[in-house]
Amino acid sequence: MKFTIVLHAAPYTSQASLSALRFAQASLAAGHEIVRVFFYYDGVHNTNEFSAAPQDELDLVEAWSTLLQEHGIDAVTCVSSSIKRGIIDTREARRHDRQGHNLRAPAVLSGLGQLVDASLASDRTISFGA
Amino acid sequence: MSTLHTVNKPSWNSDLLASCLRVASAADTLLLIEDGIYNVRTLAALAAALEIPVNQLQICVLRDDLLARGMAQSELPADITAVDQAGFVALVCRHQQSVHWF
Repeated sequence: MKFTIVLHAAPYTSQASLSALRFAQASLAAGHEIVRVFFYYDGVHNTNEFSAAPQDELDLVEAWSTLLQEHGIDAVTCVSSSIKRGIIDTREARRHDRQGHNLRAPAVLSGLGQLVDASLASDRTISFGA
Repeated sequence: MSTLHTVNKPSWNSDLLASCLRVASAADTLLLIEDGIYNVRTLAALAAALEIPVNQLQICVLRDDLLARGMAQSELPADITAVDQAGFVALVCRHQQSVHWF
């Protein structure tokens, strides 16, 4: 089956990010396809390149990035959720005159249409929130 | 059309479980995840108080989250089943749609 996964919650604040990550891993292990992971609202913090976890803790930002890259999964960070939370790419850094940029690859900034598009192309849409 | 409901909070600090039980139908499955696990101890009493019959609803808990909260599978009421992560994925596939209460 084809899945879209929507993550509404930040890492470390609640269990949602870990729950979604485990679900993604289990669905891939069962042979399903993840059409897109959509990071929404506080979920955009899962794509903050500047986040660094202590060595003895699971680095959720790293874990998401690795999973998405290893399996070639499309990942979108909601642009309107992210800019006001300080997650920006090079283009938005230029546009808003900021000194750095911190969007963690392979996620890209895009709009809500990408969630609708992914849901239409998927058999199931699964959401995780705080 | 059957629906998978996930609930991730206990009923003592949220109305999620009550809201879910009010709309769930007999062919649906309720999967308790994260802190929603604690509902295994209060679900029957809540359903009775709301006068909602839940005997036809299939109720599951996510095993990882159950064990992480110091509860054993042997402590579960007879009508509640533990599923692993693969079981969670299978539940999503088995139901035409999912509603995630959080």
